[in-house]
Amino acid sequence: MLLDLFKNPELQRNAWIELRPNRVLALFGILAFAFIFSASVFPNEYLQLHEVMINLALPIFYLLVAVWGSKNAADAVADEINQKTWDRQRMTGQRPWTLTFGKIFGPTLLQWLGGVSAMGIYFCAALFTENVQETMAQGFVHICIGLLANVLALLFSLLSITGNAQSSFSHSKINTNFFFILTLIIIGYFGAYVFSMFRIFQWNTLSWYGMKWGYLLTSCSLLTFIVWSIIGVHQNLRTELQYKNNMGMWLAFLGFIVLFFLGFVVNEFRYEYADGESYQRVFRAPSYNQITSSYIRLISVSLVFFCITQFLLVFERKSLTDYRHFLQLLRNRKLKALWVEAPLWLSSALFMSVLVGIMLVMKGMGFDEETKRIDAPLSYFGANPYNLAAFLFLLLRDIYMTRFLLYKSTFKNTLMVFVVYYALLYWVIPFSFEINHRSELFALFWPTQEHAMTSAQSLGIQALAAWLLHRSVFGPKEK
Amino acid sequence: MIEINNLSFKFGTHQALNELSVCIPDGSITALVGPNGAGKTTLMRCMAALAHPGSGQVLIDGIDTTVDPHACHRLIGFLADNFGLYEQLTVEQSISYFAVAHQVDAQRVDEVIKQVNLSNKKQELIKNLSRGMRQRVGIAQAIIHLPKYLILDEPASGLDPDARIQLAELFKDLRQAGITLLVSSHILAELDQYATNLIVLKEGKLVETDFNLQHTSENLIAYFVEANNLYLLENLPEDAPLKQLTIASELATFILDDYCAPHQALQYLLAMGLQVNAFGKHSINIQDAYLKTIKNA
Repeated sequence: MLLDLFKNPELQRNAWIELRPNRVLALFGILAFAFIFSASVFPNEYLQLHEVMINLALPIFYLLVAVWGSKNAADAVADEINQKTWDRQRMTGQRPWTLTFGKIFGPTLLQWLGGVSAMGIYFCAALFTENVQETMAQGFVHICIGLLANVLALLFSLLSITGNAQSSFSHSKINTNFFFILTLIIIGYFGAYVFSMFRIFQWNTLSWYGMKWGYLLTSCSLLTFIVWSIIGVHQNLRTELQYKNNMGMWLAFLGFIVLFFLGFVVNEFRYEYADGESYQRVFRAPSYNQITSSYIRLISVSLVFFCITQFLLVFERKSLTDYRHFLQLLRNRKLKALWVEAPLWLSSALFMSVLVGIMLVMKGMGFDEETKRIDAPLSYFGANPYNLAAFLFLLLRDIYMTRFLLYKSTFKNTLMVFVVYYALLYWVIPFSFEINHRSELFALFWPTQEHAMTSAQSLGIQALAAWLLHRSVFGPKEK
Repeated sequence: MIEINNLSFKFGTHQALNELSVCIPDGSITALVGPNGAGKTTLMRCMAALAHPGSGQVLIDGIDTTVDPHACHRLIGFLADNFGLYEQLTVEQSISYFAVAHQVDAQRVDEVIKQVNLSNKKQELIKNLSRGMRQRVGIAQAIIHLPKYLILDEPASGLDPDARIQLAELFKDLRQAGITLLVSSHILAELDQYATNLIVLKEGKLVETDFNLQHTSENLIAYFVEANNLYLLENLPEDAPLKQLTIASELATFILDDYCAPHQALQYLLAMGLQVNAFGKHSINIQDAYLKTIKNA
């Protein structure tokens, strides 16, 4: 695998294009100008030179690697399809790992050259800070976020391409802007969250299997997610290169997600008056018992699976032929073939169902009191059994509706159809009721604690209607 | 040999290929023609192991493209209609990339560049090349790994007459070098220059043509005979030297077995009691054959 990195035709090809002398010279010229100019103008008695360098290096790194690099990474395969070179690459016999590293690092060579140079200055400047170790650790986290952004951008764009039999045949251009923007949003939120967590570490608000969340765990988690994302790219490229994939790796990832997110307990706090004058933080977690704590973890992981499934419903694109084939296998209960052919969303939906099942069993075992002590937003989903049922119906409705829209919609832009569908059912309709204080109508679309029964019934009916609609076009009698 | 058995391919509800069966013999240059939307490109992509058919199979030297596409890729070179080139690379870089990707010797790069007559353009950026030159780069990329079969989708579209003549020569050279070619084209006249076999597709189906092209250096040759009693030819024995006979009122056209010279054919016809009014070469071209087949379909 490592040898692939150095004998990689895709890296070589990109090096010819990306690292042309004029581009490299221009890059270093601009970087040198930016740092020299800042070093000579901005330092003053309040802002020392090393602080100026750090403050400049980080935005340069993010601009080059996370923004520009991610755009290139998102385009890595899409451009090949648009320029009709992808078929040629698919026929070269390159191994999936060779292509994986080539596609991640090839189109971002120039950006990483600039980004690493900027971070070099960052690390040099970090030596002059008060807390060298912490600044260094933060620098490492920044680099990990940049790399994760690149890999995710490629992964998201591949998800929508892979498995679509017409992808490299289509005469329409594949536009990756959406995936690029999606990556920026996710990484933006994620980065902000990671660094806001650093600030509140001292409050001990987040623990993972009893360990205080800090730089070490953050770095390890980031590295683990980078590795999983690279594996994801590899799996998608295997499919594109016509190697058979099975569900093994995906299930391993879902297993990891369960273990990873089960470890978290958010120690929620609120400010309360103390001694009549000052506010004090009051933490809730110490008052949770084992059952409540486990229940909160289960809801959190279920929500993660809910999000993963929804994401895949929108972005995983199997061809209509493949989908029909999958339904056929499902009807005939050909489990061995399903192990290879099933779409990814099926397993994440099943994982979620199992977790919700466990929560229902906990409810049934008489842990009602413990499992009611949950704050919003988790209470939307797990406060009582009806909420849990509504939660499942919600997912079922979306599975049937999105499959119907994906394969039977006459609109060309399926992504836009999905945006409209989700915007209407999750936002416009329910919240138009909410702002008019009609919470009983709001509950028709969202599981709520107040009208839990109504939510379950309504979403159950919606799921049934969606199933009938789906069945009318993909039923057993379909030719 | 490339063997296609009951091949079907569907795009949504559109049946691009429908129960297609055909063989492409080794050493031939087979022309694949048909109207727009006939399924030519889909067929070629299935043969190149790039698209999986809904049913049926494509066997490349006995290897099923869906079972072992990678083995098929080693046997096949494919040139898409737009050539699929990296515009920002030089000719040499572009061909070197495919040489490394296919894990072939670096010296093969120079060989191929020479084979397609691009030696004087090695350092030229591809985006600066003419369409004819770009197409040669495309062919060089497709044959870098010494494939046994070369599939070309509309290779001549957009080429000027000079480039087309050179292309025909290149195809003949490649055939001489042992490569079997399958060429799709809209420009039927140009196929006369090099095609030895013809496949006609219409609406995803093979249009049954009994037209097997005989090929000399320039023309496809059949023979004609004019006679009043052509009905005598209706029940020819199987070992007769006249093949693919077509009779229309007082004119019959046919091609000859390899061992049969024209004068022997005439003797054979006279011996049958045919009252021959005229006999001679009937020079036909793919365009005639295509129009005839499509009309009869």
